[in-house]
Amino acid sequence: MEIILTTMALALPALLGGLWINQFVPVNTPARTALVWGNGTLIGLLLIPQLMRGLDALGIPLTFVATGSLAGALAALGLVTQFIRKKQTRPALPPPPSVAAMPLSHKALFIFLLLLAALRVTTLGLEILWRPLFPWDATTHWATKARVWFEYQSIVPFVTKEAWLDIGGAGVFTDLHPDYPVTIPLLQTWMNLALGQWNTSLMNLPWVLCLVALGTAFYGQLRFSGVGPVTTMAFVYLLLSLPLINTHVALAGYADLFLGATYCGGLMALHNWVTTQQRWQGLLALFFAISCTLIKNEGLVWSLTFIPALAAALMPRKETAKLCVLFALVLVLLWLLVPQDLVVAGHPLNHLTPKFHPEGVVGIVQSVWLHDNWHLFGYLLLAIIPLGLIMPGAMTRTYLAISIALGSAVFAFLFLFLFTGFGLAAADFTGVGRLSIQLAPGLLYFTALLCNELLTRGQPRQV
Amino acid sequence: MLRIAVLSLLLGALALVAGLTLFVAPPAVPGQQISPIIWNASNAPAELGAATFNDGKLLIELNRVGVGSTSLSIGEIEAAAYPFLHLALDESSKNLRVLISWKNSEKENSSHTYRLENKSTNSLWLATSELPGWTGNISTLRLVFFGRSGETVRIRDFSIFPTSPSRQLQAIVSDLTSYVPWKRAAMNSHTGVTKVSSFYPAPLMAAYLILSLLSYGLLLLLFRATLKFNWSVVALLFLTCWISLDLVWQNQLLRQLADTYREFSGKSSQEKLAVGPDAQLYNFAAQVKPLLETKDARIFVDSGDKYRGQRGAYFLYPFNVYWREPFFTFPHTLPHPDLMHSGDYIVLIKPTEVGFNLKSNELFLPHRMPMSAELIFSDHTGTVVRLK
Repeated sequence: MEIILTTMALALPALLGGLWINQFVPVNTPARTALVWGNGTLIGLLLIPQLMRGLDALGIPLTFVATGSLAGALAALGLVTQFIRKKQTRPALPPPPSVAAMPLSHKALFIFLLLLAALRVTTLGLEILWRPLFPWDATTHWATKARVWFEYQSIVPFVTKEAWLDIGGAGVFTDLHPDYPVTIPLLQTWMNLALGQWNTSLMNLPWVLCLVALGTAFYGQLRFSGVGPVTTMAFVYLLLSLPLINTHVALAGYADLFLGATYCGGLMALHNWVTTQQRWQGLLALFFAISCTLIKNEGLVWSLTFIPALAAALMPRKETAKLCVLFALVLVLLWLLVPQDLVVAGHPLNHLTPKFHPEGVVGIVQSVWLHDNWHLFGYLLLAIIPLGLIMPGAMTRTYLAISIALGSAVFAFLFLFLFTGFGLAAADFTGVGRLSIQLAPGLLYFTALLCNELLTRGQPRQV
Repeated sequence: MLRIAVLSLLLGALALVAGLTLFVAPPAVPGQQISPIIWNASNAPAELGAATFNDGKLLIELNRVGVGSTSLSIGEIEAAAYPFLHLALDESSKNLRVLISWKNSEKENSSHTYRLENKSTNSLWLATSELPGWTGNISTLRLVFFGRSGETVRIRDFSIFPTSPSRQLQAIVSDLTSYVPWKRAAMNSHTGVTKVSSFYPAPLMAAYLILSLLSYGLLLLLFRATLKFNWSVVALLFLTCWISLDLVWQNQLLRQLADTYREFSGKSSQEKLAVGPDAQLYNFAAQVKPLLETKDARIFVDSGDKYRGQRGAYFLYPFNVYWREPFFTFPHTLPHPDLMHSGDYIVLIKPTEVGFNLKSNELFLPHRMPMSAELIFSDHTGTVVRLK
């Protein structure tokens, strides 16, 4: 029974997102199945907690039956709508060659990489299945909420310690970060509601589902971008084998993987929307961009990086440059005028006052190039970014939007660790690695695009 | 393309091995012929615990406090002359702690200890130059074990060696195949090394990649009439190096998985917690929870130890728990007594500066007036009282 309920709890998000997105993705789209189910599962994982919020706001107790019925009904509605829709959007791209059409050596490499990726996912999945909740932050502010909401079948408010003492604890709870978004604890609550018991192992299975969904969406979007099957599979393997991401799956309980997957999902859709103008990709980008704010407070910063990218995609370059200057001026003005105790993305403004922190440089360098957090990805970036800059038109035209979005994100990342009090979190590795998880999948997608450009320059475009 | 890539990788590997053994290996002590000091199990002493000799191994049964030790007869040696240590133990229990301890003869009482992080002790080569304190002259070298009383440790080898290219490579292989179980810090960083590793695996593999690329460049130069530069070869070289590095990581994950399986498989969620890394705190909370009268009772958790306080508090949810991080200047984490009232539970997890006097039924907070309270539960992990 436990297996059936767990499977249902994992399948429903995939069905909910997948069946809805299925009707928007044109037939004959390259790697359509991967696009639909990868992105669909990510969407579903983000939607289930929002449905729970909606039910709670209506005063309906959080139960698996209530949330599951609503999710199931919405998924069924997606299926019905699919049948009713008469006109399918015309495919913008020619039908892709199947993997079977590849030369034998490519096929062998493809299968080898797929097996390596499958071995990794299986290893991580089994680790989750057997291990009870382990990491520190998971028990300081994520699972604490899930535990209470599961028990009370309601999103009981969490408040600061001071407020808790003022109120006398009546009807409110407290933990180390009561202000963090509710999505991740609600996902754990969802799993426990399905099981009907508090289970600190099985409640973490959405982490492995998120990794698989990210890998699948990554495959789909890269193939959609015109990258060949072998190169795509190679980059999917690189993504799924990144040690720090693997650790966050094996020792599930943190939100960084979900934020990384969501941000990457948004970046991939943004790029493909800009290059093909297919509306569903634009909607996908918008959904993921907004969803970043629902996972962690710093998600707001990643969401904002879509704005300059969007401006670059929609406006002439001169206008974009003007807008950027204006935006910078507004930031400076806000800095001067806004009270310093104002909280931005979960942190008081005075904590973000710029002052160079040299210890942050060492921390970042060690984390990216010395430690094995990212295997050789740091070295790949060192090689591919300069090559991308000298490739005619690559960063200035073809990949302008995603370059700007990621450039802004990396700028924010460096600013945080080099010029604010968070420099210490880079020096002792408590922050820099985890924040890198949020950017790494998106950066890897961008790297894959540039590598493909390098490998296929002068060749006919492959899909 | 494939042949050129393989050739480049082979040449790269040769260059890497040459570089590691010729240029970065520990230097030999000039003018001295150093012989290895080889372990002889048959006459090795057991300083703590009971020793027996069997099948070429020394078996040490840990004493009643769970300690055992043996030493290698080294006389007095120059530390730099022995840059490699080989340790070989038969598989032992998960909780066995292995320490290498040595004394510098020049300075009195200058002893050093290194606790092995690497759990791959079947045949472990350690680069002693990475051990902090392995300097000057060394007079004693000891192997110490901490485990369960009566547990038997089987030692196959405990020897030290002078420098040699093969040992340098064996030490690197030992580093790469090392296994360190999950730690809390793993969420922030995966270094890929132990404290005594000679090289970080990522830069090591990056060096291999660069050498393979240089080899490819060399081949292009040598066969410029027939060979043309191909980005696919570069991609293949990169992918091979990545996979090599990743196999090291996969090995670590699989060994961890085997450990996790042994520890938790087949157990219910509660049983897992009862034997997991926080078993003591979980079992304490599991005993306390049924004693708390109402679901909405307020519980104040105090501990001078941040980890124990936090984990203890976590296990007490879904009760209404209050726990604040301890600070140096304010080690106890309870709020002002005015903010606590009758019926509140106070959970004191050791170590704590807050005391409870059973005779007077009073709770003593540092620098505060005593508070009247009654004992609800107490064991070696902590105490629970209810304010009157």
